[in-house]
Amino acid sequence: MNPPPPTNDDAAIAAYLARLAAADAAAGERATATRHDVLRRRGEVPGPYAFPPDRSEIRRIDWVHRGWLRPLRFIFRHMPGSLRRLVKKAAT
Amino acid sequence: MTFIVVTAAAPADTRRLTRTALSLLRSPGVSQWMIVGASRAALPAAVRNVLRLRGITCTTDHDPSAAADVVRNDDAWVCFLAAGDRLAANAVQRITACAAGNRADGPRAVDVIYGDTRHLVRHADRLPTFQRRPGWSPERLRHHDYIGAMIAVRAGHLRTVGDVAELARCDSHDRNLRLTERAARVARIAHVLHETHERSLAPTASRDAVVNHLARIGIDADLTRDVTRAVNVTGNDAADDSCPAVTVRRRITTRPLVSVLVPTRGSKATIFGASRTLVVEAVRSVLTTSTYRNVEFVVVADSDTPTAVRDELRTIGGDRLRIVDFDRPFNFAEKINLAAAHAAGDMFLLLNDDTEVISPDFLETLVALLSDTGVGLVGPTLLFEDGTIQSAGHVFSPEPTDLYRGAPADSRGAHDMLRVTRETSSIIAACALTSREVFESVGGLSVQFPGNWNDIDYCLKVWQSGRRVLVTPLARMYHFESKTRVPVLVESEVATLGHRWGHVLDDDPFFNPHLQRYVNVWKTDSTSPRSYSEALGPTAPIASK
Repeated sequence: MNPPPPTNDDAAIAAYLARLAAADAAAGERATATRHDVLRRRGEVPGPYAFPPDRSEIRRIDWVHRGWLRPLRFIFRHMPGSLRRLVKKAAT
Repeated sequence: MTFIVVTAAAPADTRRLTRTALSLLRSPGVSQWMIVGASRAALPAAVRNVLRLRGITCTTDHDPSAAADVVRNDDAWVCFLAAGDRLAANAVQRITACAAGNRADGPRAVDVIYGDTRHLVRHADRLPTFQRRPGWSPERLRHHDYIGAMIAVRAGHLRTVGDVAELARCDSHDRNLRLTERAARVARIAHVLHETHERSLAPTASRDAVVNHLARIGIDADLTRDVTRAVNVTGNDAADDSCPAVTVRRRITTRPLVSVLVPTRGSKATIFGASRTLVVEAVRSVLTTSTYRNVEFVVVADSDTPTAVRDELRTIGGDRLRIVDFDRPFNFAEKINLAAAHAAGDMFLLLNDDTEVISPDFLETLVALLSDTGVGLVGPTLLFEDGTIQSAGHVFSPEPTDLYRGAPADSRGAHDMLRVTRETSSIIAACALTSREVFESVGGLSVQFPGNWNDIDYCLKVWQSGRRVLVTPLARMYHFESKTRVPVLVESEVATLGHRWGHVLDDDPFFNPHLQRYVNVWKTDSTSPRSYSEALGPTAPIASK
């Protein structure tokens, strides 16, 4: 596309912008084709895009505070340190 | 597919070798294990027998034919593994599947593969941590060894690099640079391939390795050792080549004309307690603070820009500044494209009017990086008015997010990522340097994005064209964006961006699928009670970007 169009030449500037738009459209089409290809390989149907919902809070594992675990947790936390370490070692 | 593991060890390192040998037993697919620097006698007889029964041939570098055997079969894969480290149980399957998949993908076969590391801890009250690695980042590897001690390489490629025993003995940073610098393709597997008992997983660097690497590939640069992190620096600096990172500052060879493209409407704002006309001070700071002189300015001004502002711009810019009128509805992308149409430079600096130069040599730094033909866009680290980070590259999480936004300017980031020049999926266009050739070949900024995400679309088009996008901490600018601004998601813009790039937004190559999404600070996807500050600091259990 070089050299740059002369300043104040409206026709040259319009042509330059049109060339940019055409190159952008071509890049966009290539990107969309790649996306469709990726989706097809995953077995999904290409459709309108939206950000997936934030599930980070939903996935939190909070089994430590369940009621049935409380007495066990109480016993564990009052064990001597050496015993606790043994239990942890066995658990991991 | 033949899979060979190569391990360098001290002559009598029985304990470490045994540990590695046992990990090979649980990795189906390993056909040969080559020990470098020690003899087979270093292994207990029982272990040797079990290896033989499982069909794993154990050789050493003392056997003259062993090294030749390793690289004889072009399609064999050779995995360098440190003594004492373990191969993850399904690492061989993952590597062979990746190699086969990439071969099917295109004509350029993958030559090198790396992956994540699990840090095994000895204390039962601590949970294992992980080093989650980003996608292939050659610029980052020049600064520190983010790949680590385990790397797998196709034997055909290894043969062209050097002797297998010599590569096994050398420093991992040196080895990784040598193996990757001529590789056709380097792939990252976002799963644990490697387990280690090493106390720290923070990346280290070898200055000598980087010096030799730069000489081999013809990059002219000044190197300094970044020793600001206390951990992992042993002994005095002169004696020990190892350091947390090497700062590679490329030397500028030519000073092409840089056209600074500035869209504006002549707004005023209070910055550092004083009222200022943003565009005037932005242009003035480039003219007075920057040491790069070969610049011109193309200011695209809305029709309602005050005459006084235009006059002031003409006064300070002189014949190096041109004002182009824009009388259409607001469209940032259209304004930048119009500015490019009036520009004469070989390089375009996209610059917001609410910016100010901090590093006097910022343009030299950006021009030197952009002079690499493989680089299409490069940006500085941007700071808020209060000195905290505004943007150090984006992460698609999947919503594009400024990385470490609001963190102190001297933050190191997880595994020193903020201390090194590195590849990133996208950067903000508030200040970004690109070449005319790249700008025109990808179609400039897309006018489909009048306000938001035209920069992200541009970056992804640059990646699509086969060039890299870099962000560097060696250049810094202020970006006086409101710290409390919450970007409003417009559904139509999300749909438009996703229509083109949904596959990249959902799987950012420089992010890691095992890190939690929707958080500005990266957290490993585990239940361990890690604090916010720990996640930000150098001991963070994650490494990416």
